[in-house]
Amino acid sequence: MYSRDYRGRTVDFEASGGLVNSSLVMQDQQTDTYWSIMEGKAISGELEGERLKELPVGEKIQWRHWKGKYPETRALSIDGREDAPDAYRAYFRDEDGFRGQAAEDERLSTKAPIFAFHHGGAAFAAEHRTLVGGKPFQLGDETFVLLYRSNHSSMFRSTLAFVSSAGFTLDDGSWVEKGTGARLDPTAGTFGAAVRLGGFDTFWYNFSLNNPNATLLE
Amino acid sequence: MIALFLILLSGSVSPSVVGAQDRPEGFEQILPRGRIAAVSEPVYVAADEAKIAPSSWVLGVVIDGRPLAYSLNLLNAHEVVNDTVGETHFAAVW
Repeated sequence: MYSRDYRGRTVDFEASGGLVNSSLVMQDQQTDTYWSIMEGKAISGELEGERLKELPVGEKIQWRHWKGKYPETRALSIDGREDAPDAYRAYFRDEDGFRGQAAEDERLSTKAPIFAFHHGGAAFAAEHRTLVGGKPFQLGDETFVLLYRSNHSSMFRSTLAFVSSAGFTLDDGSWVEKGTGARLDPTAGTFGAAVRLGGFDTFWYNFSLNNPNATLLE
Repeated sequence: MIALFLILLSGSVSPSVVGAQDRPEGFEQILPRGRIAAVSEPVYVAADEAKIAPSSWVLGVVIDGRPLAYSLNLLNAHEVVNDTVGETHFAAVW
């Protein structure tokens, strides 16, 4: 989820129809600026250099669970349809990237699922399988993040990601934010008043090809 | 997440590297712009009216206390939904 407000105007995004390094590039309809999801910024055009503003308000979840959490939810409908066949099952199971694209950075395999984010102008990634049960990382003197995945998560399920200036610790099997004492509820995806960290789940080749200097959190 | 719909549509299209001045370095135009139409006036239905398989994955969001769900399979064909709730102008992207 991204804000559409940049430099005092509201833009409408759409797919450009093109890729950079096998990854989606959007354009906005107002300035025709090109926006890279993987780089998290405008990469060419009038708004070049503007960071995409992530709104950490969403999660990928199965419909039955979402509907259970929010019975009052409304669902997008297009031409009378709210769902469609899964056209990409084979792609997600394939070890190769789009059109056979492979990762050049061999720290992880091409299609390794990762959680990726940008912070302070730098790119970070962590492999899904290393995040089972939760893992804290320190990015700077006063910046700590906690990334969490359950041990039965589908790769589609969003990684839970939070940021704190005080840090996180395990207490009796639960992740707790230092200072506030807030506890992570992995089922609900909530962490008291802890701040959610913007980011997204993707494949290693998509992110690393567009962020060759990405830090791999291990 | 990824330009998924491009994968489906680009099977018979030969991509070309476009050298137009304002295009980003390394940009490959796979499909004409507009072929994957973003949704800019989204329509929503109540959960009980939504014909979504229980196991289908959705992008769920809560904005200003209002929960909304976007089927990922439905987003595949559009990539982007532009919408506004309250004062929040947002784009759901998959």
